[in-house]
Amino acid sequence: MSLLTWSALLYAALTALCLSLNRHYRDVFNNRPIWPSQRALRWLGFTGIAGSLLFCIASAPDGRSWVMWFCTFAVLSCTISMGLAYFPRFISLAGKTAVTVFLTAVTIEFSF
Amino acid sequence: MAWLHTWSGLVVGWLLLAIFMTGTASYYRSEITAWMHPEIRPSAPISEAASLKQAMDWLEQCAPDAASWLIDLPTTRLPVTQVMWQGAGERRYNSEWLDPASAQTLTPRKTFGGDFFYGFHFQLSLPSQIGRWIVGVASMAMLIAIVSGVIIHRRIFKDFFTFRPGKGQRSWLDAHNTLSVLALPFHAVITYTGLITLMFMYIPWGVDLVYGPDRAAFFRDIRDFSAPQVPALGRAVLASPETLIQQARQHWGQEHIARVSITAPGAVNARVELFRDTLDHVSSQPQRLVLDGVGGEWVGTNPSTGPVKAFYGVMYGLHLAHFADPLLRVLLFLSGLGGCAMIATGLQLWVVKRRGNSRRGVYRHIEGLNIAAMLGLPTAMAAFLWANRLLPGDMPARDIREIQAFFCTWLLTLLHAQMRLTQHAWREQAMLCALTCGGLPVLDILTGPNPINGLNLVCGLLGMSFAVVAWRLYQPAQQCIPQTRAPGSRPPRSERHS
Repeated sequence: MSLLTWSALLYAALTALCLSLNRHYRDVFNNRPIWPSQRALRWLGFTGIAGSLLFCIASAPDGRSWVMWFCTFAVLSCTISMGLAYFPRFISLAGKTAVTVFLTAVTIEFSF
Repeated sequence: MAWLHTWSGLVVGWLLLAIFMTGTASYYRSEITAWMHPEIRPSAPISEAASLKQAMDWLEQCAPDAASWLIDLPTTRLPVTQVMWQGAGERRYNSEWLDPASAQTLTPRKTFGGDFFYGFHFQLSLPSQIGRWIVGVASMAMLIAIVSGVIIHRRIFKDFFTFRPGKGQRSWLDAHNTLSVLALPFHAVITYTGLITLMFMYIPWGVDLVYGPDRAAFFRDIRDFSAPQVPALGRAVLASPETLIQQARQHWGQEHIARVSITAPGAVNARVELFRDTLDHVSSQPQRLVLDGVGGEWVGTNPSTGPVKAFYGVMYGLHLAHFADPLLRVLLFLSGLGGCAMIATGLQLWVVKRRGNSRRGVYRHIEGLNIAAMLGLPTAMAAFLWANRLLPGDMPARDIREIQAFFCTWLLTLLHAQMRLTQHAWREQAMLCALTCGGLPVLDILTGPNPINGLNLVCGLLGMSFAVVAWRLYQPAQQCIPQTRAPGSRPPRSERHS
């Protein structure tokens, strides 16, 4: 798993986690989460975060990967926080792009 | 618990901000050192075999009778070969830099380079014992503030991504919470490992119990130090650099030698130690290869580390982050900036909460301290770099003058922040900070050999960020916080007519 793959998954998961909170969902979509539900978004978020950590450690199983993952987590979640404050309409688009990048990267990696 | 968080953070907050800011800059210590020595020309990558041969030839010619030699091979971050030698009976090492391309001695300007920020980070430019103790107390207070902050933050998940700009006190609190929580692992680890690096000074009783008064024996054990060879009378030719490199490649693979130590060079009992770089593991404990100095045969490696030494090495390594590749270094730098912003927003939140609309009194002076710490310190750091390029190269004690430029600038920003009205002080210092940081790339283009480098990019970006801050501060103040009314009181006239 490359850096791009797990960081895209992490970003998508953080976006899902962020949208699982009513306040942020309303900022982005102007209504309450219906589908996927709040609980589903939360589960997607936590599962994605755990998955990205696993992929990161599996790709280079040494201590540096842990440092890399936690620093990436901090920087990406700060990016989402700032995005929510100043460009809330782009949060959904960026999250969908991250999912696409992750799925494409996974497909390419497993194909070759 | 809230009072503990408030006071443990506030009392040492300004100091912590200085420690965090210089520590963050120290992630680019080598790059700052290279920037401050424009005599260093960027060169094409030189193989470690060629660099080692150049250094050994130079030392053979210039210090043949030295008791020991040390050679630090060039890296991509600092492309110079550093040769050091210790004369018989001398305690200190003499040092020269060699250009790896031409093997000629460089005559760089006198400056502390990035080592100044690094030293200030844990010693505050004070006598070592005093400075380290002050930093230790501040770090302990920081650790208390982090733990108590987590305990008092009840809505830690709900507020995870919450930042509401333009809402006065609420925005400062949001920014402080968000920056604290999102990078909490970084803040906790960097503070804890910072304490660990100097733990033997802060808590010496365990070492005293095992080693008694023989403190040197402890450091020999913890640092894998081996006593230097006493030179024998017989003379012999040193093993060739190619032989030494061959041994390193057999054990470590290509291009991993960071340092070569040769004791008793030229004697029949000469000994060579090769130190591996720590780029591919977290621990700061380098692997060591001991070779016979004459034949080049393998003699031994450093003894296997026990759990305590391994733990200490990993903690030390996590703090120094020598293992970081360029991307991870950027992420660590950004996390460090996040730590600075966390402390800064906490300090300002305390003032904003208490001062109300008052612009006078003790809170005005405390806000002045905040301004000097948040904007004055980066201005002073930039002034240190400006002084490096503007002071004449042959000026006596010019390295000390650079440091004086740093402290004088910081002191002036402190006085300015105390004498001016706070809103003027914020604006003027933000503008000054933008100009000093943003002007550094221009200065480098005018006076340096290679204007395309990372430091110029970072300074340019910082300059732009401070310019945006200054621009925002110069905008007319908006009343962002909705006025709360006492129950039953009449609404303001503007609301009554709407």
